Amino acid sequence: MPSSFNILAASLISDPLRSAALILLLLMALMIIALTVPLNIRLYMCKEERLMEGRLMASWLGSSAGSELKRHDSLIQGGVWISCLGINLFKREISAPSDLDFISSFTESRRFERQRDKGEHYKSQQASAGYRNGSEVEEDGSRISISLFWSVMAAIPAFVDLFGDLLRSFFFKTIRCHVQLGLDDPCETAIMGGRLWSLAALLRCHGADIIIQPFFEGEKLEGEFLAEGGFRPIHITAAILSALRKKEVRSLINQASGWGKGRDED
Amino acid sequence: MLKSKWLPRIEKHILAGKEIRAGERVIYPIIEVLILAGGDGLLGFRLSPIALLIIEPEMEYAISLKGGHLAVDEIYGMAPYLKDKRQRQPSELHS
Repeated sequence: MPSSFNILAASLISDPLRSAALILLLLMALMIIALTVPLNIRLYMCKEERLMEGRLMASWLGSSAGSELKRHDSLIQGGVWISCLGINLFKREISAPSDLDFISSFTESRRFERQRDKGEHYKSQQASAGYRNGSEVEEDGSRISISLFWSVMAAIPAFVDLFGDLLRSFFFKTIRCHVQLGLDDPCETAIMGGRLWSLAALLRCHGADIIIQPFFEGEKLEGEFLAEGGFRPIHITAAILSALRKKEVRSLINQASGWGKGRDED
Repeated sequence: MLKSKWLPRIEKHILAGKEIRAGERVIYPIIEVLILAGGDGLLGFRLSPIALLIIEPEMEYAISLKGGHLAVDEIYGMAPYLKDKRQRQPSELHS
């Protein structure tokens, strides 16, 4: 081991204040990295003759989560996965012969999992807690007053700003849309094609690759759509903090959570 | 003459529009579609109605929208797939 490392380790052990500062610095560096590394989102949809496919994936700091849905004729296959640094942490695949079977199998499997995980005792606790919550909700519902309504109205501009900030924080890397579209009437196809072309021209200015081909000889919808984008968590944190700086939002949160009531009574 | 697949080309198609039903009579607008294509991409298209194909249980005839006389066979000559529509039509009409 190099002697300089020994000296550093010895000085850290001997000085707890310095070691605490170093740990704090490390934590801050980690937090900055976590907030600045972008969360990437990828959405892919494809339809080709009888095959329909959709995939949604989010990745952040080496970990990724996603889901995919594939439909061929009436057979549906779906899957959800979570992985970290290339290692699969969770993977689940479902296939069903029709839409309804797929939904029912998905809901049944979830119900089964819940029952297995929580058990009957926990369920009874949940039921009683739910009853209590319900009564609280009823009580809270009776407390909703005109002042809360005006607080909501006053906070609307702040929420609009928050929504705008969140939208601005989202960036697109790729938008690709290659579609062949046909309606049952060539005239309607042409009108729809014209409208979509005008929209596509607007989006092409922002770097999107959009090709819409009208198909005049019958009803048809085939093609693929790919959207890749993301956002940095720091922007969302900043947007939420800037919204919380506004008095209207704070008072609304106070009223909604009931914190302000005690103060009003005092 | 030098030909390149990237040079714009015009394709012409004759198609039938959505049927219009009036009692036992079925009217098909006949549409001329001009497609301007360059390479593998579509550059533009233009649609114009050229005729009305009218099918009745006993007879069928065409009315030209450009003026002049237009025979039904002329339309079928331009768009052979319309014959299939005509063959399917009597059963659909009486259903």
